[in-house]
Amino acid sequence: MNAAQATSAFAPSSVAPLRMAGTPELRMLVLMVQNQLVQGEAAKTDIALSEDQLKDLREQVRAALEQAREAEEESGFFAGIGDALGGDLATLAQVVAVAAAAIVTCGAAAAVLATIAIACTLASKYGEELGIPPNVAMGLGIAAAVSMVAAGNVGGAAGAVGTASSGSTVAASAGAAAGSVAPGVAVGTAVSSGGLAATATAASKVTWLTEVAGDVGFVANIVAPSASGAGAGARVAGAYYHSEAIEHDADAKQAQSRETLENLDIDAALELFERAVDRQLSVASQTHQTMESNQQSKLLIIQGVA
Amino acid sequence: MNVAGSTSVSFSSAGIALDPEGRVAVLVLEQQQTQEDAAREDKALARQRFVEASNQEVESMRDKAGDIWKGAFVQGAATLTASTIQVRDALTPGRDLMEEAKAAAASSAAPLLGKFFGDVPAAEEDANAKHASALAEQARWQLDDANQVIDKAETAQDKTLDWASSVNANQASAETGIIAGFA
Repeated sequence: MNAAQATSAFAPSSVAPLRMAGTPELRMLVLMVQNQLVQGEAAKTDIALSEDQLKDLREQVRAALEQAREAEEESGFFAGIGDALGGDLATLAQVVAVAAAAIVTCGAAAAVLATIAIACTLASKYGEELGIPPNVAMGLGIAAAVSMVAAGNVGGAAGAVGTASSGSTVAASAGAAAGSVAPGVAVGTAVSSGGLAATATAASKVTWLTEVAGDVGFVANIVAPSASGAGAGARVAGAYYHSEAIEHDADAKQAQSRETLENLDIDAALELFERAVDRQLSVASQTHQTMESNQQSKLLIIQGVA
Repeated sequence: MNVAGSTSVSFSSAGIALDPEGRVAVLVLEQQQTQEDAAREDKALARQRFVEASNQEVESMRDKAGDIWKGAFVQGAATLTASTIQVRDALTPGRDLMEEAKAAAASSAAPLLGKFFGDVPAAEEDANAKHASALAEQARWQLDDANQVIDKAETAQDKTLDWASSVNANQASAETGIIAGFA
């Protein structure tokens, strides 16, 4: 639509100045027609401009929503990494570190109990994902704590409190905090079951196991906090992208508000234009009738005189 | 250009010689025009309120984004500090209870700091955004109401115009009849 073109025969530039003869009512109608013509032309221009702006705003909304979606995808990706590093890996490394500390302190028998404790802790922590009922998960946590206590390591019990807290196993922490059993049960069993040779073999195995557990514990004590720190960094990155997504949502909201205003302007301009056209047609019709009546009157007068 | 804010037309009966019917029509037109002008002012105010409320909502959303980022940064920094202390403690031979205590304190404080600097102000900004959204919706209703009043006023003006035209037509018919009678 070219708003600059005058599409009506009664365009403002083509209407004669107000020196036409006629009744006062007729002159008033002409005034109103001129007013409607001006408003109609302005409405057409307004509609054309609003349409262009509306197209731009819709494109802005679409682009902003697309950017928000992409930012949320990035946020989810980094949040997943954060959960994997700071949650799963850090928890596993903590549990391994605690178990290794128990083995270092108490020997071979503690290794078996520590393995049981690891399995029970992990099962309790991931009970929901594995589909384990809550009561069973709580029971596994208690079993983990009992295993830790039976391994005889006070430090292991304290570590189980921290691991259970991070893994949300309240029962395990309560069991671990209850106390610890004296160490050395495993070595005493080996001595009583065989002779001196069996005792020496068992002692060498315990020494080897203790050294390995020490190394594993050292590595785990570094991996656990490192994974936790890396997970925190990944979560920060995820939060950054999440905030970017909200910023893009705000941009979309702003464009939508302007779009609403433009729609209101277009509606108002359309109503104005429609009304202007209706009035023009109405007044044109009435003017024609009035002029016809005047002509008839004049004809009758002439006929009368004749 | 906002045509809705265009200047209204005012008719002065002194400037046009009118019979009584014409003057009545002018009075009605002026009255409807006054109502329409008042409705247009209300519409302009409602539009301004809508713009302000929308801007406030957008501003609150941006503040919320900033708060989320700030809270996550603080929490991440605290966790990273705790991790650094733990790694240093692991690398150092022997057991340092003070280092373990610092790491535990930083690790425990991290989620609290995250909530204090992030979640709590973000929730507040979220509430502000919702409040601004409600105000914008209210302003939009006021805009619709003003539009309805304007429509009614213009419809009444159209009817007055039609009435004035019919009076004019009747007069013309009467004059024609009189002339025909003389003739």
